[in-house]
Amino acid sequence: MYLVVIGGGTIGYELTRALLNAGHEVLLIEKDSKKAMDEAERFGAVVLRGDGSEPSVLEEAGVARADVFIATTASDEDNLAACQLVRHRFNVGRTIAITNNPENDDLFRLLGVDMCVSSTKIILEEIEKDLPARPQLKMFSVRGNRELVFVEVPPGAGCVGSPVGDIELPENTTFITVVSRDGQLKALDGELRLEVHDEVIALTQSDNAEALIEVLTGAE
Amino acid sequence: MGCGRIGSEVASRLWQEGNMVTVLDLELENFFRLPTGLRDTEGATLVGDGTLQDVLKIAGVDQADVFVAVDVRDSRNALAAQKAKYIFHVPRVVCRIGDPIRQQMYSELGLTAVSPTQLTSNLIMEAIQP
Repeated sequence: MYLVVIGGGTIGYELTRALLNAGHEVLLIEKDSKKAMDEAERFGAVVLRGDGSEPSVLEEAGVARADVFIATTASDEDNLAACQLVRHRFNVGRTIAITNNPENDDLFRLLGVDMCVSSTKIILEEIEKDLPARPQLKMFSVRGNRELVFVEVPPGAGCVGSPVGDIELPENTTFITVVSRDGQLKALDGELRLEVHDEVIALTQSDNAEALIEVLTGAE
Repeated sequence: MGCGRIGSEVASRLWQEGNMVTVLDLELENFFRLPTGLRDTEGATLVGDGTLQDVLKIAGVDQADVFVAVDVRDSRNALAAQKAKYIFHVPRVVCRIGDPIRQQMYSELGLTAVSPTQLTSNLIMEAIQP
């Protein structure tokens, strides 16, 4: 495969090294002459000094025959401009951009960048994996200042296991039905015990909705 | 966005025609290119990076009829203009793209892109040809 990488920062540098080691044909474009010289010393003739968002530089790089184009500069606007150019002027099939600001991901994809990689987002997603899942929740306002609340009982909720009759619900709250994980309706009597992933459908006063959700999702 | 020579000229003309104008620039001192009346108008100037959604929002781009990106860098103009068009749905978006190849590409992609390089070269060619 022929891959063109723009931006010889940490990501571009390591990427070039890994791609070369994997036996691919790579061209690294770096704007800064000092950096480009250092990298040429390291990698040889696969480094081109120039601004990778300039059409003439991309032309010189022979980007038109590239299979993949990867923009890794520190500037999101240059990464976007370069990806748009190689796609629309040089017909490169696959473009990948680093987004330093995650707010740019959606726009870049909308504008035809095939893949956006945002380190901020990756780290956030990793952190979220370790956090307990957010409770599944839907609410609808009902006449008379009431809310119809759909709550899924999350793992670790304090209400799990004890008979419903013993759970202290906020005033004016009525359970309408409880649906088990496999879609069965549970009989609503005092003996009913809530299980993890049960969906509780209840009617309550708007002021009490928050308290009800806390009862059903809060830890012991 | 961009209060250089072109940005300040366009902003003051629009303002003199009676339009409500907000000028965005990264540097406070660039606003001294604007006429005093405009500079002293509340909300007429904002220091910030126009390629960021938050800054565009504060500038009121979601309410704007026109967005003009005339920073010195093509890539910044293209990014800001495309945000104005696709995220804030501004009806008319114009951007300055110096490089003629990129100018043509962005025009084909639906932006109104103006190339000072192209326009100046055309004028010079006209002036030297008999």
